[in-house]
Amino acid sequence: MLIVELPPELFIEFCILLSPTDLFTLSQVCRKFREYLCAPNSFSTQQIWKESRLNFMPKEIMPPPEGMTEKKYVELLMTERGCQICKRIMECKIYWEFEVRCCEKCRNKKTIYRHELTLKMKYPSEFTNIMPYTDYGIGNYYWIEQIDLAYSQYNNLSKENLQSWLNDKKRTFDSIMEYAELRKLNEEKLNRFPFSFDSLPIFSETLFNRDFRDFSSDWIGRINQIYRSMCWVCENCTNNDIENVQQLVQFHIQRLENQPTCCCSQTNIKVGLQLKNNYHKNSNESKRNNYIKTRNNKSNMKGKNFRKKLFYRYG
Amino acid sequence: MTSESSEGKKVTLKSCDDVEFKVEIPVASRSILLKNMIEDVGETDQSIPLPNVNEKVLKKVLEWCQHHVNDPQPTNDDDDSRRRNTEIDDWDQRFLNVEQDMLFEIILAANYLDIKPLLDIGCKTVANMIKGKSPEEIRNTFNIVNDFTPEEEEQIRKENEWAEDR
Repeated sequence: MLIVELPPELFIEFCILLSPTDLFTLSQVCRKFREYLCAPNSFSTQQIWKESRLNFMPKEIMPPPEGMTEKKYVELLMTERGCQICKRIMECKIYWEFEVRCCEKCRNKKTIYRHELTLKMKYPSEFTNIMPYTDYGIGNYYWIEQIDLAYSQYNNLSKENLQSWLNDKKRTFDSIMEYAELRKLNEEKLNRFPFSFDSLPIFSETLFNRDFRDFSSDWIGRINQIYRSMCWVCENCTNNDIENVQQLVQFHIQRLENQPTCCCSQTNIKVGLQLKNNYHKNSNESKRNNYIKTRNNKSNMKGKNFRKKLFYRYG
Repeated sequence: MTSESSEGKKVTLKSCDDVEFKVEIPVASRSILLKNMIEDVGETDQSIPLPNVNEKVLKKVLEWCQHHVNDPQPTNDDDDSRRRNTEIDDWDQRFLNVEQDMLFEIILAANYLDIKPLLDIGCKTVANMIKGKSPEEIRNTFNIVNDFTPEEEEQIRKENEWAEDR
């Protein structure tokens, strides 16, 4: 008996023990393995890559963007593989809007400034408004290949089909932009807390009533950094500096209780977000909260569900 | 049937090549399939036919069941923990140090007989044989023929160019 003669359900059993790198290697061995590992519509294929991601990339608990396969998602997340365009191993960023990971050089080559499209090339705004973009430097940039492909589709549409095409694209646009925003928030959250709030050595009796202005400028900077990271939604706040420890402690407590906070007013995070991202129909925050709530359950359930579904599928 | 009353009692298993094995019930009960069968049927002198397992493999599987007869039965809850743990204990390692053909037969039988811990160590062994190898090394290890067309090969090479750059 050969390994390729094993039935698919047993193939899955050892695949879920392998890292994404090993899975990629395995998909290059022969047709059968490639079929098992690259089938975009197969539940088991999705499950293999998902298990591998959760086991070997423990930080990547966020599900992939809508419509993206688990395999492509894992591929994007493998930053150690470098730029997907020039293939060089160097620092690069994942552009969720374009579903690509590339270095700065390639990004500059592959993207186009919004004004180029709208002012110089006279692309209609109903078209540019439904194309995903990213912002860096000044203004919004589009992925040239995406624009070219979509524009040729756009031009070949009959009048009757145009509206439904635009609606479809708008839906995709909303969902991917929302996902990109969610990613950005997550990253910011991770980067903005360079040290643990709970370990700050400032909550002793003597310090409690002390004014922050007595601190060295370094400390004031650090404390305000934390403080801003907590009330980033409120634009009014960014100019004010936090004044005393009590205020900071209060924010900390509110943060622990998951209450939206801001020093200047009772600004609600949801409102803040809606103001900030008014092009989104749904509030990111509510989705993010839902996601965080269900996240733990999901990770606990996955093993069982997987078995159940396998069982259901294969008897 | 409680474990006390089944002490010393035996059940007869018949492999697909008509060889009979007399096995103590707790040993046979390592297999959830057999455990359920024995519970359903009760005591019987008739042999249980196992049409998917041959003598050689059944003997090997029963050897494993005998050794692990006192292990706690796995529950669904430790699904995750048992997956994350890639260690295989010494006895099991020696037990699975067999021809590849036999290894896959054991995995198949473990799946059919529903012996999860045996299935797990079998799959872990296979996974360990794959880990860190190149596609060509995997083909050599498992005797797999490269059946890609030149076009497909080119496609795969393009997709994985990063690997060759290193």
